[in-house]
Amino acid sequence: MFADAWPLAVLAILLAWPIPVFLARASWPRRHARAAIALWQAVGIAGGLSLIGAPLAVGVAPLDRHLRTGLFVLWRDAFHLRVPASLGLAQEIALALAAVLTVRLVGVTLLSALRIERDLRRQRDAVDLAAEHADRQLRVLEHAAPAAYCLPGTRPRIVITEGTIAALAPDELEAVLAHERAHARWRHELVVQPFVAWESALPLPPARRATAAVTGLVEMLADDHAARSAGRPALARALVAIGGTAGPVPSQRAGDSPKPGATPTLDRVQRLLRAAAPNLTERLIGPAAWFAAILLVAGPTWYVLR
Amino acid sequence: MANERAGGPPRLGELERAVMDVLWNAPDGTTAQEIVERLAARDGTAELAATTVLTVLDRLRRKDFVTRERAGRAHRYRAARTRDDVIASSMLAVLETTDDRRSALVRFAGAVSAEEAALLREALAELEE
Repeated sequence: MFADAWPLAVLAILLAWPIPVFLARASWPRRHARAAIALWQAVGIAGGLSLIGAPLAVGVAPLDRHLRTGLFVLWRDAFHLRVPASLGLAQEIALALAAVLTVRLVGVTLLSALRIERDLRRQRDAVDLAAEHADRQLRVLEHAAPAAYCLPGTRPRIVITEGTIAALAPDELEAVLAHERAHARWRHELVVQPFVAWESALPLPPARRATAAVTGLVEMLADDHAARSAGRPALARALVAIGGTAGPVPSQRAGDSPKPGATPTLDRVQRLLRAAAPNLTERLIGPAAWFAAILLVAGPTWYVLR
Repeated sequence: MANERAGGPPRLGELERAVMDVLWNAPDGTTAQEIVERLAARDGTAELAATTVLTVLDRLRRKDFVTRERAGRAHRYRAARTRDDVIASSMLAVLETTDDRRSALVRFAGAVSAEEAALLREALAELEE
């Protein structure tokens, strides 16, 4: 009687648990960062849609075997301000669940975007007024602690401290700047922020894993740009210099269980050091991940609209 | 005032910085007219229109960088926070976000523990060989 609900529910469960766990543990994403990001995005989109689609399909199951036509019947009746008689309490609960999930996902995403934009505007104002303008983009804060970061946006700012300049050799500084410029140039925040919003909407381990993984992958993309323009050794030295003096270690979040001894910084240095030429299998993983990403979004869409 | 476009009027952002510089050097506050005079004296240029400076002050007030109070017929303007405070809170915002991915800020490199710093240096030595 649930027709379309089962496949969608199975997909939602797969995407909510085993697939993120598997993806987060895999080691190939560090060599195919872009494809891995696409796959995470597909997991996010398909996961969200199937999570909403499954209760919807349960709700409209008495109206029609197909989700699409069932929704059409529901919509037509709702338009005439009438609830289809065949809907029982279970169906109404399922539909309410779908509605709550939709409103929550959309609402939290919008709120998160607004909050981030407000924070960024404050940060931009502060560095524009209080920091030295080294050029149109680069701001230098008079502070002894080494730090370097990017304030993303249509007019991005790259911020470093006097402490950063003091701690680094010229080629290391160039590597840091190239890394941050890559974040700014390729609008990496647009990749990361949807995951951040998704995580606030559904603060569960799979969402945390996804955000952590994508954040790390974006760093690796920026590292690749920096390594190309400033060289791997300079970038690795810069990571060690900044990471080794960057203040207290953040406490681990409860429930998170990263691999022992692998903070993102250490992971990134090791990645720079072990850049062996990939064999054939490894080279095929990238395209395979792209294909999986497309399939993951297109497959369920086709299934629902068929 | 540093004017990147020769001959053109200074941009609003540059004016805001110039006005903040004046205010940060005047802990007891100052009036708009005094700001006009100090900017002209500092840069050796013609005085800006008072309304221009008032517009800039208004923008800075909306950004919470400037406060004002009545002083007779005019207003007395003051920096809401010292420059060092502004820098310190910027740094704090960044340092605090190390483990908080809900922020849009991502530092170049997060902090590592002492053991990891040692591992990192080892890894580096490997690279230099």
